[in-house]
Amino acid sequence: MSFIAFREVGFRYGEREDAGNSILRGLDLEISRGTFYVLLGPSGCGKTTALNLLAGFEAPRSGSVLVEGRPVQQPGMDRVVIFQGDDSLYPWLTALENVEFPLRMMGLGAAERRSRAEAWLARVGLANHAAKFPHQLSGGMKQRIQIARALVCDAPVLLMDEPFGALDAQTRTILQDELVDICAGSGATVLFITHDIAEAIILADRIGVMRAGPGSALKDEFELDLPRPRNRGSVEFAAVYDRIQRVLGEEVQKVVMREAAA
Amino acid sequence: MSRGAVRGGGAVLLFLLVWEIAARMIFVPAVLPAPSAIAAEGWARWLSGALQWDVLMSASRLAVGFAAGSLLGAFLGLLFGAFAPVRRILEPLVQFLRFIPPIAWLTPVLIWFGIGEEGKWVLITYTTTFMVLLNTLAGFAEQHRDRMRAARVFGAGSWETFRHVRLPATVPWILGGMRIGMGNSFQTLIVAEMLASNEGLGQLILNSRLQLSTEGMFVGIAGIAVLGILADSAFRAATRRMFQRYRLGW
Ligand SMILES: Nc1ncnc2c1ncn2[C@@H]1O[C@H](COP(=O)(O)OP(=O)(O)OP(=O)(O)O)[C@@H](O)[C@H]1O
Ligand SMILES: [Mg+2]
Repeated sequence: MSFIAFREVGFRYGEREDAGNSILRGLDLEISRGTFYVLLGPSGCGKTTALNLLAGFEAPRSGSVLVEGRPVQQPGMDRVVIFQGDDSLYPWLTALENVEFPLRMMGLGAAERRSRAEAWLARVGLANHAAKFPHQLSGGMKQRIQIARALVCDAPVLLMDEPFGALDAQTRTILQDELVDICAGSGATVLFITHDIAEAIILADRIGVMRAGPGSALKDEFELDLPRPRNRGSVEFAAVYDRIQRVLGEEVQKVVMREAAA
Repeated sequence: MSRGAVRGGGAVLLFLLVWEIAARMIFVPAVLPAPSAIAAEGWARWLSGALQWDVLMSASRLAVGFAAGSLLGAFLGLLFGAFAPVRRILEPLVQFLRFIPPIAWLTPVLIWFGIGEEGKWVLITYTTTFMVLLNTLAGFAEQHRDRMRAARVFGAGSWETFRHVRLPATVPWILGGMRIGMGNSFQTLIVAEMLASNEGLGQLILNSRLQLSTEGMFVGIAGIAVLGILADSAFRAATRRMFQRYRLGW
């Protein structure tokens, strides 16, 4: 039994039942415990939708999404989410208070909340910005708050939807390396969505590529056994990049052709 | 003082100067008195104590109605926001009442409460309550999908989501409603004082007309403006300090 499993998952938004309205059809995907799983796929294929199903924000129309064999019923602190963009931070709370939020919901006392949140803020390099509000911080800093807020929960599963998508290339590289360090120690199982093949290779134990929609499912998977830390300039890196690029490129091409026709 | 404030003060002075000149050269005082004549009339009324009395009456009516209306409006708004069934039951009533200007209630209020203070308190309370309630409801209606999802992920139940996520997001809307409510309360107050009162700035304006004292009318009008600016500045300064983290837009 795998730790996380999508079994024959079908999903559509709304009630129209025609094939064109189907987002996911027969999606099978398994993630074993402790794996950093990266999902790639052309824009609009249903990556976010799949993540939302695992988070419990949506329910599958058919099939099942299981964690340790039990169907996902609702969102919970065992599967914390790092959201795309920064709309999920609370603007009236400081960086520290945002990180304390999950601990407050757990009912921890003020002192313990504070020391745990401070430790994580320091871990993501924001020790000196604890008292600032989100609007006073850069995009990269806000994503760091999100990472700290998620990791402070010690959750067994982390769900990340293009967490670095809106950042500049430099900041992104730095955060990728930090995330590798953080996850290496935590033993968490991660589902990470990105459009960036290089990012996928830096981070992943395993990479899944999704088909173009409608009715998307997994097209291909890659097991990455390159040693870490991975070198973006190495020959092995380039070889893997090339293999993934070919599989993903085909799907992206389909989407481009379809949009050109429409 | 900031550069903007200096410029704004300059604009007011220039306006008064142009008015002074126009009043002296073109108009007779019975139509448009000069600012200097209005100031002199105001000073005379101040010395007699009549002006303070009118201001005090108007200000106290506003203060009582504003305080009661803000509390009631915020309470109802939060109740509607916290309990969806309450909202479903009562919102049609609110929608039904919202197009009735407070002043339309003046006559029934006179019948129920007479021309004493209570009637004015009721009208101003009603005016403020409505603005605060409607604004609070608008605040709760705003959708923040990711914030709500984050709350669920991080273990907030429905009460905690209300207390820690939906309520704080609505604070600026409640305060904004209070500000608008205060502005609208001035309209309600002045009409009510003109039609059903023996004291207050509204009555000063109307009475001056009957006594053919155009200067007196303008003393009343200027008194309203000054009272309004003072009340709004005090409200803004106090709330800015008390609700710093909510980044109010003032
Ligand atoms: N709330 C919604 N209602 C209706 N359709 C939706 C909704 N959200 C997404 N979709 C549609 O579902 C499909 C999959 O969306 P999803 O966001 O899962 O794609 P994605 O793979 O994450 O894309 P991207 O890489 O651009 O983020 C898209 O065609 C999108 O238009
Ligand atoms: Mg997406």
